[in-house]
Amino acid sequence: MKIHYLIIRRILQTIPVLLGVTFLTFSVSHSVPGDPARAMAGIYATVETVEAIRHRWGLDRPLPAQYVIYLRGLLHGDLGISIQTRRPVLDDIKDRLPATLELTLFAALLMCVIGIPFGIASANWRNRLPDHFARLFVVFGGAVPTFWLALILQLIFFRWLDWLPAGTRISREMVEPAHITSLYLLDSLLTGNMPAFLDTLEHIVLPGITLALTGTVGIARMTRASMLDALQKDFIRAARANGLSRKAVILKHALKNALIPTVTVLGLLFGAMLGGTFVIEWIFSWPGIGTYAATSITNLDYTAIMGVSLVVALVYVTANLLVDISYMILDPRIRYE
Amino acid sequence: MRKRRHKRPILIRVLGVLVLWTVLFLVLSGSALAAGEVTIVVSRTNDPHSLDPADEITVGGGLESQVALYERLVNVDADASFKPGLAELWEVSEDGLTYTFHLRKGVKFHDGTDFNAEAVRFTWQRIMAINTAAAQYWKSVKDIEVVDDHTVKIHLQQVNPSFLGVLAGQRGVYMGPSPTWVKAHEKTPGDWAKDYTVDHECGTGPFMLEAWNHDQELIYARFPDYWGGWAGKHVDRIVHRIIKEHATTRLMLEKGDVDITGDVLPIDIADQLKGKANIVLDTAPTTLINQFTFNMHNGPTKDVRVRRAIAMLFDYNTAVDYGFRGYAARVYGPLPSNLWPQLSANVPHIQTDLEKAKKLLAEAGYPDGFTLKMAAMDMHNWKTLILLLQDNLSQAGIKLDVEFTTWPVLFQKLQQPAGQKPFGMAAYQMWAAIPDPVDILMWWHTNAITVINPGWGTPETDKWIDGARSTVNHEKRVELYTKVVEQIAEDAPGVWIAQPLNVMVYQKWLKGYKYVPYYNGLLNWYDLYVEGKPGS
Repeated sequence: MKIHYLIIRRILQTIPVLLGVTFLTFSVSHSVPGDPARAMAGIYATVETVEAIRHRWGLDRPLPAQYVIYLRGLLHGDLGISIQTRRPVLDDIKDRLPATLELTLFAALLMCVIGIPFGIASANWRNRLPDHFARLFVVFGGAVPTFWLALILQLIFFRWLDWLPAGTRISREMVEPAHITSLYLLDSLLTGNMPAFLDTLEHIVLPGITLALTGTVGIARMTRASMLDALQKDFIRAARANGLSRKAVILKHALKNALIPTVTVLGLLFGAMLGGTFVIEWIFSWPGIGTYAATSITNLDYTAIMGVSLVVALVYVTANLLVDISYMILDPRIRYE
Repeated sequence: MRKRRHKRPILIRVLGVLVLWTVLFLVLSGSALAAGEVTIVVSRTNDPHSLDPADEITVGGGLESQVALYERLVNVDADASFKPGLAELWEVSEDGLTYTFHLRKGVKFHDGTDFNAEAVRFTWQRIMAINTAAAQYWKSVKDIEVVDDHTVKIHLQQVNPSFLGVLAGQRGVYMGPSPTWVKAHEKTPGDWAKDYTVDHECGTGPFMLEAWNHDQELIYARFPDYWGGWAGKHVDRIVHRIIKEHATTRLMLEKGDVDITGDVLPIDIADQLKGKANIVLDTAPTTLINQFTFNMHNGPTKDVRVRRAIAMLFDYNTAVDYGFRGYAARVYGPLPSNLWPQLSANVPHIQTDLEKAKKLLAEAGYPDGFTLKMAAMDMHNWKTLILLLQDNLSQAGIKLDVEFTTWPVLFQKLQQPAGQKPFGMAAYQMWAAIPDPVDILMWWHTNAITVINPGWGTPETDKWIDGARSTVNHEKRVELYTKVVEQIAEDAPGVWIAQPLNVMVYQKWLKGYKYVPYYNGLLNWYDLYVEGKPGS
């Protein structure tokens, strides 16, 4: 199947997936026995006040009616109004998604830059010092809880060494880069705003490392395993017999073949990271959808919870589509029927 | 070799350009803040829900910002005395039904229009038309009469002895936004600019909203035409930094990156900052009470002997010493000790007494204990207090099953009608937000059973509560409220854990902070200033 057919088919498949996501999140969030109107009004509000708020937000309607209204809005690109911010959920997500995407992309880049070389080194020097070192890193990275690592990194690099900031996306004193993609690193580079670039880089390092650690371990292990597998293959032996240099054999022949499972893991990890930024964004005061979602859940902000779930699902599906496309590029023999 | 010689100059050139770019940008764009201006950074956990004083009345939801941007007619001080706000003087008619306010002259809204009697009337009309959170504080108002530009009469539907306290309170009583501004920003005529006011403002307060980067920070700058003027010591800008994680706030306070905490820090985090260089831990009595209440309609807690036994099993001293790290005091009834009326000596002041408690339980038919469900919110020191209670109750064979939830879920449980409450005990905090016991005792009326009252009260106690709310005779009110608190003490509908102290953490260089218990959680922005900050 050609790439554009694949894309069209996937887009069509996305519709029932997203519909399912709305139904599931609606059912689950509304089955929590909570009262967002009362939470909004406060413990001291009178019953009449709570009723007025409930009416204003349409929470007094039967659940099926609320769901139908939500779906009708969705068809018009309206994700509803958030109870906690009193703004359209779509605007809230538009404001916050770039921050999360930037953090996730940065972490994904770190995962590749660190994880793949670790995996290659481990495979190349199997059971030797680099492999032991990589194994130690893998065990550490797999064992460390994210929230703990985040706090320790803050303590060391912010409090003790004073090298990096403890949170947010950019310093208050810094002029924000012009919004082209809303990814500060990219926008500051595109506009040649180097101080903003460096400042954003400083801010993203700690949350980026924290978010990347667990995934890096997965990438390193997957690369090692598939490299070891590839290095046993006949075509590698043939390449070596043809007198190709060790570097060329590993980087050009073995790696390209070993990368396919790594890319699969990367695609899955990207979706998982996007959903897993809650804790990291919370600790590093990162103004993304993770923080937004966490606050929405505690406030039982139904529309916001559903909006975030939809967007995460959409990104997840897109990431998987990109993985499938990258398969075709990495291995021209792969075609989907 | 030649290649290498070429590479180095290129690298140096690239680096040179980067450095030049950096320097140029720093010089040209400069800092967002002008030199010499004093800015303070205040941490807060949440982005405001709304800046509209008609629609948002909660601390954590927007009140922290509203007090910088808007003002009240009257203010209350820590000693419970009323002070002029936007009204300089006021009189109350003999029948207690009319309040006349003489407004301050020369007060301007942030759009430059005058604050006057018409603006007071407009504020009330807008709040009542929007009819959400703030409306409940204005329900007793029949009409607002504009006498002249600077005199306004508020007519009440019935006598309300605590009306001045309500107007001086922290919820729902801020004047504004400016009528002209509202009209200019209505999306559809008559919508009172509801949507626009969520993240814009036009009050008369000392500070104006300069910028709001959602989930990051709010920046407030001085309002140049503020009626109080800017002579004396003040700050130029205030930055509300959203920091979700308290451990991060702690690190930033230690490093001096945060000047004061806008939210009260959990007591264990605040206590860890004690003795740190440059940090002040300011403590002051609050009008808060932490309490466990009983389900009075179902299960073993229907029996007053069981309730008293549980109150006697609780280890109050350990709760104060460990649960609150010493930042609290014991309290013996539903009212904080700095509010009238207090319990007289002839009603029970419950103390921890295991033997007596066991005896009471045996008398009630529970010598081997029972199982109770507890509904609570996992916040601050509640977990410690509930674990302590769990341990205390186990000594008499009572097993406490605790369900920690979020606010919306806890509220849903609390507001079930009497007889359907899905818990044996619930944990929450009460607060007198005005210097009048009505703010707490109104919840002990039987018509308030839906939310806070666990089911206590009789037609007789309702009569006392109603009577105290509808007379301006102070002696009569003291007498009636004394009856209420003493009956509550007799019936033990709750365990009065303690009255916490307010622990505010800030830098030594920040001056002017003053805690007023009725404005718990809010800062006195205009009075804050910086003195002796290293490097300033």
